[in-house]
Amino acid sequence: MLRIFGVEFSHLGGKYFIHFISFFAAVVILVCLFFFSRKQLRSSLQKGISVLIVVMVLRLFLLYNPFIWRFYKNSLTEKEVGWLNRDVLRIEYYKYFRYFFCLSKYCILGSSQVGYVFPPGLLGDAQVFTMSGLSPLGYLGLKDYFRFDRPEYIVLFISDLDMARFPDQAYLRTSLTGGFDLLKIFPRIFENKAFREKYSTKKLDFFARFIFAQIFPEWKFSFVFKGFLNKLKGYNYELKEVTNIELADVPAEVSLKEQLKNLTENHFEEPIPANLILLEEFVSFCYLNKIKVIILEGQYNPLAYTEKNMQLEKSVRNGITKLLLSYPNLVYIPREKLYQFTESDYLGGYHVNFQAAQRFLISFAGVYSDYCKD
Amino acid sequence: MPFNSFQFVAFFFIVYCFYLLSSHKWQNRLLLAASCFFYGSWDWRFLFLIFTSITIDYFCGLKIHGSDDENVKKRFLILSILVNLSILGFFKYFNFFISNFTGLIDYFGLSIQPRTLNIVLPVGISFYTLKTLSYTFDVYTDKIKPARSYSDYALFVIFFPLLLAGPIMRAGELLPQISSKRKLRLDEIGEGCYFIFWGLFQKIFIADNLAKVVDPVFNSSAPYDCTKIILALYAFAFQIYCDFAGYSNMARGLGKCMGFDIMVNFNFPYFSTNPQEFWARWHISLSAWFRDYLYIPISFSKREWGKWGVIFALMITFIICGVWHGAAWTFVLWGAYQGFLLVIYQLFKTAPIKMPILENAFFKKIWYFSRMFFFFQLISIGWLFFRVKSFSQALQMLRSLAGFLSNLQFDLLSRAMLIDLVFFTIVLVIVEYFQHARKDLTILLKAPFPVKLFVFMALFYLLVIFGEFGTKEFIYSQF
Repeated sequence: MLRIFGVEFSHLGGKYFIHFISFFAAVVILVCLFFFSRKQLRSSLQKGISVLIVVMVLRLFLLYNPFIWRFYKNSLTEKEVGWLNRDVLRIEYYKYFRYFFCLSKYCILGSSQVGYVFPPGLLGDAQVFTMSGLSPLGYLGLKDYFRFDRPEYIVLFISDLDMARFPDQAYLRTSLTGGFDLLKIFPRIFENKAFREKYSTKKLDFFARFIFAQIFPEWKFSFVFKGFLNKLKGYNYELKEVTNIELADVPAEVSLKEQLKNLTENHFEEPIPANLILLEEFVSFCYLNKIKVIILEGQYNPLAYTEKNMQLEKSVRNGITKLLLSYPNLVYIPREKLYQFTESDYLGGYHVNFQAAQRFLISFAGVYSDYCKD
Repeated sequence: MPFNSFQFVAFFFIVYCFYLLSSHKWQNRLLLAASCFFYGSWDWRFLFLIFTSITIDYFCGLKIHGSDDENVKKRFLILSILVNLSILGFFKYFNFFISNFTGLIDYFGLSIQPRTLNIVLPVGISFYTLKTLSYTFDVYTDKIKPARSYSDYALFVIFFPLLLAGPIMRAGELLPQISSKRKLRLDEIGEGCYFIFWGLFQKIFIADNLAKVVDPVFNSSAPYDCTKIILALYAFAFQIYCDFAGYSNMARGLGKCMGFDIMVNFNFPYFSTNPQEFWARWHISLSAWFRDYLYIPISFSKREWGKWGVIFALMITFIICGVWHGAAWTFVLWGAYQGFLLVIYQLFKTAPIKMPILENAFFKKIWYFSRMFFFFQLISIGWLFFRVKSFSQALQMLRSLAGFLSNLQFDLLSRAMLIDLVFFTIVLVIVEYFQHARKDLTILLKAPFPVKLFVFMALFYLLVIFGEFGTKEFIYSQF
């Protein structure tokens, strides 16, 4: 087995690896052409091409090769870059490999909640893929991976926790296409009057940041370099309340009270239609690629439920139920049919313990054959 | 719409495209309309206020110049001063006076329930008020002729690159540029782009990152040890400098791109070794304004007091300067402290230290850097009064600083703060050292191509990777 800088050569492959080889080749060709034809070029053109070459070489070494992403993945932890970005590091590294998802029948996709509801060791041939705070926009960001590694079923665990927040474009970072193909969906999202009224000021910012991220991947992945600075500073969460360094996600150790407050205060009705459009787009993609989608109605700590949450939950359920009419590949299992988590099952606001996960899976297995006709 | 926002980029791009295609007359009209839009984007009601000030000062200027009667001239000058200071006084100081008046009444055992108003401070009011006042003063003293064109005068006041936080340009410098045709040269546009880039770097990379070191210490109610206060103070010294100088550089750059020559507002102030030099280098347009319109008239009127007249004029000028910065006693204290430093300097500057060892070039340099370092400590203490939220916080911090030898704790957090401070200021120190040594702000543009490529790529990557793009407000726009 050939290993170069810790990377197993035989596992490299896939579309992204081809892009890397092409980019590398392009840089080499450009450099050679420049050196051989330098004297024939005008001074200003020479300078312009020099700048271009420097930028491309820097990008190649700092961002566009599997070796550097292995280094980043192994050097940086969630303490330096946050939970979400730690997952992004992992994805960026595996993009250069042939199989992103294992070729299994089931792929369970979701936020960190899913990692606790479906812990490793309990599932046979299912693969669990989680990303901190993953929401419908994030599913769409990952859809291109499913084109190559096509599971038979994708299982989602969705509640208002996922649907009642503004779609965070940070999740587009994982997309193989950079998220360009998803731009066409956004006019539909902003057609919703309530969403537009609440988030119109974010619109220009959202698109400007998106375009900026495409033109400057250095900015898109700036969290890597900031992570090294954090490492140098010996940053850890005990310092957070004083240094106030912002990170992408809230760790599970944050107090229960804070987490529950977050669940009730930062969820709104307005993003739900937008996230339903994104979810529909994902379900539609799965339909075209002959992948069945099972949506399990999500849950979180019963202590967090307020009148507002129950209303949001209802809106999410109604929205998903409507999708069932248009997509025969979609199955929706409401929470009443599954094990209902109690306060004592929870480690915090959203994550359950292993025993509760076992009880949940048993209930899921019990109703599976009623909903999924294999 | 601050300069470091995507909205401003889009706004300036559109305005600039039309600007390049327009004739001189239409350029001025475009700039006036764009400036109104820019200012109105904060709150359209502010436009009424600024145009009230513009209209009154325009007519006062014409009346002052058109009359031969000294009393008539004085009446219109007083009218202009009263209107402008009343507007500024009401919007900026009304609640401050009411709360202090209430406190004074309470002190004497009486009790009243006055109403404070929910007043929104119009953006840039402190700056454009000084601008318009300088116009009427200069017309009164026959330094300049009044503007004939109302739109030219309006543009002078509301010109958007200078509106929020200066520089406070004089009518004699800016009006001729507005009324005459401007030549756009490629090298000037290149310089303009350089100033915009450097200003953005100062704001987004340096100032906004240092805010994360400063804010937790100054916004916290918990007491901090001496080390953290010192580090936060140093960080604030660079934060406020880069925030303000960054804005001024961007304003200068935007002006240059449109053919305007905007004055330099900061000239390496932290290289100063005494307070007089500092105020000749820091916020030059403001210190010149206070010197010309306050200090000189006061010291002249008190000339028979001798050196006490100078001291009196200095203290009054700087206390008013402190008040101008904000409606709080801490700003007054800051102003008084700056005045005190200048007074001490004035009293002892004629007694320079003479040492033979200073004839040696190496020791001369050491002495120069020692004085610079020492003076930087004095300035940083002044910034403490500027940044704190209350007297009690200032006292608490000063007590901690006073016991610094017994109170120094270098823990993990202090280490993190020090690394942030060094990381985010080292580039500025190096660049400004070379700029100051060559006395050329555009030295980077004149470097050989490989050096230019390396430096600009490094600055660009630092900006893009570590810059805070969260559109934090400029500190001075709050004044």
